[in-house]
Amino acid sequence: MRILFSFIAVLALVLIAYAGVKTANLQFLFGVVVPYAAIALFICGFIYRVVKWGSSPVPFCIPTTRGQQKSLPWIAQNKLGNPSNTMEVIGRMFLEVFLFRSLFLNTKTEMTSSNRVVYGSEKFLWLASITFHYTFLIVLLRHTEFFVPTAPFFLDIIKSVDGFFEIGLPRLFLTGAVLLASTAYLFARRLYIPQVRYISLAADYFPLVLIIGIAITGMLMRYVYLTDLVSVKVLALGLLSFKPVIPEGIGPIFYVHLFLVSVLLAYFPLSKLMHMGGVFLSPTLNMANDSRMTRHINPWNYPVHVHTYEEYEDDFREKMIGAGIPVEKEGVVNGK
Amino acid sequence: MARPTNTNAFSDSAVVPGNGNNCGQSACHAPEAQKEGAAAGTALGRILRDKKKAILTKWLDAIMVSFPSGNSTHFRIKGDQFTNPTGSTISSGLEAIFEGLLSSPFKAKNEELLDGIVRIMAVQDLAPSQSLSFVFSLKRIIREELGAEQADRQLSQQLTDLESAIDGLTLSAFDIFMKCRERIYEIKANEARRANFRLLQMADRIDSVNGRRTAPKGNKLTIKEER
Amino acid sequence: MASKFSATPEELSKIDHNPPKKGWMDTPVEFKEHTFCWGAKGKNLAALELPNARDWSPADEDWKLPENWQKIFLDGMKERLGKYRSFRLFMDICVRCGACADKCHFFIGGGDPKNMPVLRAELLRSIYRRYFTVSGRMFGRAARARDLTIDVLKELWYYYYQCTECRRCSVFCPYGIDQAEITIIGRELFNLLGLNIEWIAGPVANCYRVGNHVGLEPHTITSSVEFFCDDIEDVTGIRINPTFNRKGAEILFVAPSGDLFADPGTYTAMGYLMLFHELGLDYTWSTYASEGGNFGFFTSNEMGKRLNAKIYAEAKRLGVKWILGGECGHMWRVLHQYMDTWNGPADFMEVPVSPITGTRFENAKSTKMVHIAEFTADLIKHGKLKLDPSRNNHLNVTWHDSCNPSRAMGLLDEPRYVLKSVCNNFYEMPENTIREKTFCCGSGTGLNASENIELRMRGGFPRANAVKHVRDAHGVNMMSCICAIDRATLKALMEYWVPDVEISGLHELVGNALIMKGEKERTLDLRLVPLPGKAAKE
Repeated sequence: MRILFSFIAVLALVLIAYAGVKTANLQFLFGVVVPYAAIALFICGFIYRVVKWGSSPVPFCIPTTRGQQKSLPWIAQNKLGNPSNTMEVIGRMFLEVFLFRSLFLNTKTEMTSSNRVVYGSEKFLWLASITFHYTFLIVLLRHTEFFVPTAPFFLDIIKSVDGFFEIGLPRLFLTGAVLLASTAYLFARRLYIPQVRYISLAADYFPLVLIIGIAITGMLMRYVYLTDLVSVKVLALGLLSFKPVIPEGIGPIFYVHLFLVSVLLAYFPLSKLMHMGGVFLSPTLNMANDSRMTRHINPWNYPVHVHTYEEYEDDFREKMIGAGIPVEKEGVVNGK
Repeated sequence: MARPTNTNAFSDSAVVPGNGNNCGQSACHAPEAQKEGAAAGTALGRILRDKKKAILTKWLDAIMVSFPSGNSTHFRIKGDQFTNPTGSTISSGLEAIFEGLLSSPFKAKNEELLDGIVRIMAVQDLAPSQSLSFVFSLKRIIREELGAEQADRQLSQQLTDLESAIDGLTLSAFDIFMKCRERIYEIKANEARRANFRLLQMADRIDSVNGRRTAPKGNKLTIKEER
Repeated sequence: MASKFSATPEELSKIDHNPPKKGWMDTPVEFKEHTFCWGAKGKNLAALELPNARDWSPADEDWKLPENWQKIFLDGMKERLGKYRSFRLFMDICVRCGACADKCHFFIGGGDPKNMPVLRAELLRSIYRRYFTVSGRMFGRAARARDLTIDVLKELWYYYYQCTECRRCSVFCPYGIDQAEITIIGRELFNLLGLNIEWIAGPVANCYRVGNHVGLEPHTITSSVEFFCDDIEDVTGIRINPTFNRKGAEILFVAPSGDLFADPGTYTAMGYLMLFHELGLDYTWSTYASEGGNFGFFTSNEMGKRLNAKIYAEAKRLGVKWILGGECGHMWRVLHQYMDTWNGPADFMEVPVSPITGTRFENAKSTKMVHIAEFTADLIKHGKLKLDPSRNNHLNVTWHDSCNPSRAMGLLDEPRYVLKSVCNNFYEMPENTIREKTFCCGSGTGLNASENIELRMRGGFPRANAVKHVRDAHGVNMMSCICAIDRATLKALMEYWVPDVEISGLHELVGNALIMKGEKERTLDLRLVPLPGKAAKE
């Protein structure tokens, strides 16, 4: 149901764009209005969400420590698992954000029948996640060629590495294929691992299907229904310079691709995809474990009702004196 | 420096379910299975060994039914002894019992084979009937798997022997189950006793009204917890 | 009970390999015997000025909630979303990757899918989506948002009292999402409705008035300690006379009250006493601040602060220079991450300096409180203790990392250094069951009651299973740890799963190995059990 819903939703989006361009000639709507609206929603939504998180304070210093603390000088601290200052926190966050360290550490030891221990099965989640994110990034960077008049320096490098195997014509970009494969794996594991299937929501399937849709339409354009890249660049530069034009000769498949990307952008701030911004704010990751060295301030700390020593002594003075425990008010009985 | 002295704790490990426990090593009066494995070296034994995988799969299915719907999912996933101890104890335990029935001579005692699984089943908030039905179901599964072959007269006799060995296992399983349940109540009682022991000890020696010690040193209560 | 015995053969032969066909939102909660704790008594809630004080039982249909309980709950949620970034963020950014799913000991041991940390959090997220997000308001169930009904509340309650806030899930989460944070907030919300459990509310009420969870009054504490001193005298021939509430002492010592109360924690307390005596430490116990642990922390942030306030207040009254803390797990979560923020600044004290070695504990320079494992490790490193580890030769020891010191502090190698100095036979449990990946005892956060014993046995099985491994491989017969709840509950856990393994605190083993000036030849250990090979020659 949840899965079917996601497929139907994405298919509907594809049909809307295709029909809109093919039959109703709504090129301007799908080529200009929707992308502008989507980008506006993305930027405003993203900022809104981050500001909203930022507006809730962090009352306590609660890092999750993953390794030895800094204590005595002769005990080796695990600086990247248990940072005690800002530099070490940056190191921890770097490993977390760029290398997905937690997922990498998510090893499962498996015991084979011959009692040999092998590590690794859980590396697949890490592998699929990291290839997914990085190929997505590279594909995104590759697209910059449409938005700048002359190609930036990194583009040639990316392209030559990406097309290294020189398969097919136009040359097959590895990243596109790997992106598709890793997304498909992430989707498949939601179906095949019973626990993950049980916890998955429509909101988990939908973005994956959407991204698969984007990747497929993109690859179709590159390898099957070849699209006039010059016209696309005209459109993109027009959008960027706020002088939108709709050049002739761009097939509907391009508009489908662009529409799916727009939907992804607009959906982004509403969804779990915001983990991209959230990971930087996570107090269990981004705080130094220095709460005994420096006092952490809680902005809403307020006085509370406590049971004072005086009240305590009044309750137990006789027994305390009997047991030889020093008291503040000798000779006072029952608080009188 | 402070390095773990023995990081390679797995090196000499063996996945042996439920070996060694004090759950009434001597107290199980269930009919001992034959000194030889019930189906050891027989025609039946060879047939069953061929069908081992199918039988164990069905048997695992049968034990998983005992758990509330959904709770067994994780236990069925292949994990290791430490990441999925429940699942691995159950599946390796079933295999060990099966092997025990087929081995020659019968290697281990019933209760050693059963302990790992039954000890888990005894704290899943299940009825004894639910917890232990899996042992009975082995008989049904074996007959299902044998199909037409069981009509063979020679096999039929061997099958009867095997089934009485399974009956023996069942009785042992009930013994262990009861011991485990009794142990749970003992543990509750022990916890309460540990919590009160020091207080009782003091009650004997101090006057709670004025807090002064009244009894001379050395006059200790003798109910010190047995070890 | 009767229903337990009514399964028919047909029911038993039905085979179901998969998670429930229905989604989790359509699987109603079933309160299972031996899995939940009793409801808090009205008198204890009243003593703590907590709302909706009345006697109630989770097993009852009627929970005697206030008329407007939904509003109270949702208002409380709104307030906390604005007060805790962790809460708001953790409600939003989970991608349900499943990395945490098989990391919870309750899930591993019992298999209930709602005990996967991600799903336990989703129980509350569904409420969050329904009332605090646009998509949830618009799409309702399709966006996995649901109304806060009484059944949903009961489900939340049932599973949020099946979380020991051990943070193991957080270690594996790529965003550090910590179910403990979510459980802490969840339990705060329940407390707005008077839905605490008695096993927490009782100790909190005790601690508030009497000074410690177990309700030891001042004269009982002193005589308890005198008893330990009697036993120490029997073992060593040395008489120790510790002081209580003494003004002008250099150091205030605060331990979990469990160590004064029940074996085997009491042996750990003897270890403290012997060590301090041997060092000639200028220290005092306090009967007012006689609890380091803090069950208030399992009630609400405010309650935690109210109980914790006594430690600094007493340090100030007595005029000590710094505070030394005993072996306790969640106590150190609170002292390390919360105390200074709640009740500081502790500027009336000095940066802790060990009077024996001169080591300045820079890592505690603001809070002014040092963990005894840090203190003792420093002593041993500087050669200030004479130790005879062979007195622990009859013990094959393994080390249980307690959850909070491991994952909310990182106290891992200090106790190991001490342990390896006081015993000769030490064996680690498997790599993914120790240090920051350690398994909980299954009874933390006030779940160490007796009515939920089966839950505890299931939750503790992953830990017990690893112990069983080292017992079989290395003959381990003693598991040592630095947590009072561990000492009480691992004992029970071992009695069930690995009956020949005993439990001890770290300083019990220190006390055994410590060679004291003027002591007689040791023939007994701190449990008054004859030492093998060193029996009295009589």
